[in-house]
Amino acid sequence: MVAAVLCQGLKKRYGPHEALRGLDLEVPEGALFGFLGPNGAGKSTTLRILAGLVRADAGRAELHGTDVRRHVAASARTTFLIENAVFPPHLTARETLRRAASFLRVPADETQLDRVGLGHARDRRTGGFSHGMRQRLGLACALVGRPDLLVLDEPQNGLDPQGLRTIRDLLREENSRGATVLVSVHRLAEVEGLCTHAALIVAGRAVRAGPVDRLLEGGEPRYRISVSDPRRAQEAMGIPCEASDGTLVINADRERAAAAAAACVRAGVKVFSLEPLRRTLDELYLEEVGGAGGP
Amino acid sequence: MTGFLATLRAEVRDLFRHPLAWAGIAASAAAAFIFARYAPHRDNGYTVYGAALHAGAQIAGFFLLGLSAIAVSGERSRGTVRFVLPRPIARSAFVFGKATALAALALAFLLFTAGTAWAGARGHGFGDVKAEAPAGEDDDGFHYVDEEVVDPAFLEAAMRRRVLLATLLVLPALLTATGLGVLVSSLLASPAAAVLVAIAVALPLNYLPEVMGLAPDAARALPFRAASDSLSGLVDFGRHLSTSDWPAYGAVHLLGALLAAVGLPLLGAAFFSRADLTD
Repeated sequence: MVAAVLCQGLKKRYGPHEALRGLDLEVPEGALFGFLGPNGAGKSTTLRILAGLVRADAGRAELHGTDVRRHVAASARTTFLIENAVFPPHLTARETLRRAASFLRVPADETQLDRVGLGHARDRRTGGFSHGMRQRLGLACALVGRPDLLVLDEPQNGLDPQGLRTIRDLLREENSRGATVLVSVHRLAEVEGLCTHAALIVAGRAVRAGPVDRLLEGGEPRYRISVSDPRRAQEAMGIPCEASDGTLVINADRERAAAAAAACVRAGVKVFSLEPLRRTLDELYLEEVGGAGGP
Repeated sequence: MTGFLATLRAEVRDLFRHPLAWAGIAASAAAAFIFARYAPHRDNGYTVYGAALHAGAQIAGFFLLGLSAIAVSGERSRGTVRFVLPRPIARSAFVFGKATALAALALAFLLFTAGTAWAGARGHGFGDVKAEAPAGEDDDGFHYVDEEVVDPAFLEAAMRRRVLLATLLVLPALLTATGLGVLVSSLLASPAAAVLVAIAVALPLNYLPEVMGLAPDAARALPFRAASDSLSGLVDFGRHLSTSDWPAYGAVHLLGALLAAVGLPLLGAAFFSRADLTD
């Protein structure tokens, strides 16, 4: 099966700054793919290369098996939202959407404005839009034509919590209908639980990539134990643990976690639940980035 | 060139909604009308029309130069290239779509300017253009008296042809201006720098034909001629050509202008197609 996005040994230099140092990336068809990394890691440069805005110095980049240097063919089934969305300021939201559709030679589907919550502003000029509204309009334009692949560069920038939720829902919906979604973010909380796959890029190289479940495997085993009296439970277990909102997190394997729960019961503390904890993307990120340029 | 028609449609809509385009059309049309309306009444309408068209075309040229210089660079500086170019559009189609839309705008400039120049010149009346031969003495001692002469080149029928040809010749001249502007715009990311460079390059090139050559002797007396001449530049090819020579002059001018109008955006497109757009 041809990958929706394939990058092999991608290199790009801006003067003395090496933005990409041999990036390898494969986004499978049908994935909801999180492209993670600190600011300046090379995420935007990669997406600009895919969008045909920037040329790679070396390596290959393909969209659905077509080299991105053949931009017209490569981008025929793909839509992009590159960085902060900017539109001709004299156009209304409706006209902007129509223009995006005309460039793709598809009918302008104005229901996309409703989907992103801009139905009420369809006849307003984009020059007066807030940053969040422009991001929403950028997303609406990216949804026009039911693309097979959506490439979104930090679409959540400038959005309020409701806007963030809208974006998450839309990405899920698009992915459910079969579209591949490649979304770049630097705030991991926004993709936690959303993406099926992820890649972590640091200093121009992908250091970890694959299905999210597999990425979060490994690491030290941990359990969360929910108890009636955390202070007494901590004393009863006799092992170091982190307390938070009536729960305790202990670094222990299965046997030791069970023993700790039994100790709580013996001490007269009620144990409501005991569940294994997976690594989070935050933790994975900090392991690789080493705390520099945090999420 | 995939995306050419889509870009052209978008550009035509944008350009004809641009306040600077209508300000330019109004300024050049008004200049042509005022120039024609207030020319001395002893001048012939054809002469006045030629001079007024020339004056209006100068202004049109500057506006078109400015508008074309911000065509690509403006999109880069605003960031709207990120909206357009990731879509399946060839960059060469993007540049040529803009150049073609600017050509349509140049035609609008010409129509309005020629129209108002003609309206202003009507008050002067049309007919044969007479030239004054002043009294004097030549090297062989022959004496001449003051008289009005009519060169066959300036009979009314010939003047009509000259007027039409001169009007048509302004269009490729304006296209040269837009071609130059598009080239500079494709090379530079800053609209302000692009406008300055385009004007600095265009001024000495004398891209406008000398349409005052319609009736040179009578035109000499027109007001503002000195200012107009200084703007129009260095060469004055058309001034003393007879009507029969105009097609040859026109053909050379037309060929050069069309080469510039197509060739310069082509160069711009070639450069722009390879540029990294990090704006």
